Amino acid sequence: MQQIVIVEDEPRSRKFLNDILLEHCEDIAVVGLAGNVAEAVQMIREKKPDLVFMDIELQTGTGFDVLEQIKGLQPAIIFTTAYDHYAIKAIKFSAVDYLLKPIDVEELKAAVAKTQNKAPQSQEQTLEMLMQNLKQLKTNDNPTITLSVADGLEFIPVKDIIRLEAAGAYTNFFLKNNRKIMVSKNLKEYESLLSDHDFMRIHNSHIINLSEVKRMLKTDGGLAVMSDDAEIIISSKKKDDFVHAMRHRHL
Amino acid sequence: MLQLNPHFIFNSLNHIQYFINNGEKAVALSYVSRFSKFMRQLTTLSNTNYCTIQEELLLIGRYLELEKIRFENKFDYSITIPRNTGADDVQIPSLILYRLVEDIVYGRVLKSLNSVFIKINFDYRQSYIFFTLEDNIPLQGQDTTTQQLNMLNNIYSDSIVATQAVVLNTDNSICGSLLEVKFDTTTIKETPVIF
Repeated sequence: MQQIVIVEDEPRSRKFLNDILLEHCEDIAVVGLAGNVAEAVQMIREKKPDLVFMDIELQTGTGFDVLEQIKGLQPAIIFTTAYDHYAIKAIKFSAVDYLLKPIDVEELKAAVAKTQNKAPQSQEQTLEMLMQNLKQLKTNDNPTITLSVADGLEFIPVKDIIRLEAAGAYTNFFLKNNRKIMVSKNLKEYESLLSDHDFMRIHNSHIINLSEVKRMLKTDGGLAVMSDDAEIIISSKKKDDFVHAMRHRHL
Repeated sequence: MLQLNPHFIFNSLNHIQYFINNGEKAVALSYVSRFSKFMRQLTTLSNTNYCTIQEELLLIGRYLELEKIRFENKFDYSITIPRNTGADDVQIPSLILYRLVEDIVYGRVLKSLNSVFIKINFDYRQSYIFFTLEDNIPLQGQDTTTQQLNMLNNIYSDSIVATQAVVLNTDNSICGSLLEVKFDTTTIKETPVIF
């Protein structure tokens, strides 16, 4: 018999989950219900359940706060949330299960069945991975790039960069608010660094921030018009890649 | 234009699911109809830059009614609209008061450990509209509501004065907070809309 604790901040959500579990899942027992972080921690320590349904948003904190405080207990976790939370990305990455509310009964059954065949050891590892991913997500949310300039270092939020242009062995950074910074490294140094952050090298001399493209003009074989109205030539080799990337950014 | 709060929408659907599963047909039906009325008015007001204070208060009332059902026993509220204030045709920027109330519900009311009472009043005197919201939650430093008030003061610097203060008992102990948004109706229309 799989012992289950439900952590949900709204009483009705708690009861609903309890009811549909009993109605649709076999070989389970709901051994406790909790509504906030403190209650959840206490309940999980006391009951040592096999599986915890964990609401991400709790009124006194988050489900992750609960996880931090029950280390070593190794229950399987199924997250629940009403909204496609930023954390969902990290959850997906760590292959931990989650359910979006309103809950679909078939998805619930599948998620519970999956936890019944998992070794506790692997639960612990996946959760650790999840916490790491979350931390990374928080810092990656608004990454900065460090540029060394004549009189010191500049820390530039990546989202403030509109484009980069090669100038011989140097690179010019064109930023929002019409700022320009020249750095003594060549463009290639930045290509791989920025490619994970929605940047693309569309020409031998140009890397652009795809979020800052306003328009594409057909003149001269293709021009990308940036948010600062700069018109950047797209090399014929890169044109298909560029169009493809732009298509997939929009609805 | 329309900035919906996805938490509110999906949690509402969640509740409807609960009522249905629990066999509470009448509650489910009434919740759906209230939810639709609220959503319809929210959609309409989202497409306008200005609305009357009555329209705004009606939306706030519908919103609080739904949240009160959702968070049983967590809070109660009253909205007092005086008769014959002469403010029937006076326009204010749409949804700024609604957003403020929504923020207070999520940022203050739901986080409060006690049950909360919210008292909303409005008055119109000498071409000023006064919107006040009093509750029994002691102010605790800066929060998102404070930020919203600061933002209103900045964006509408020539037509809105938004303030908050603590409410004291007769023995000078703190028993709640009072928030006021004062609109100067002679200049409000000239302020550009940022939202």
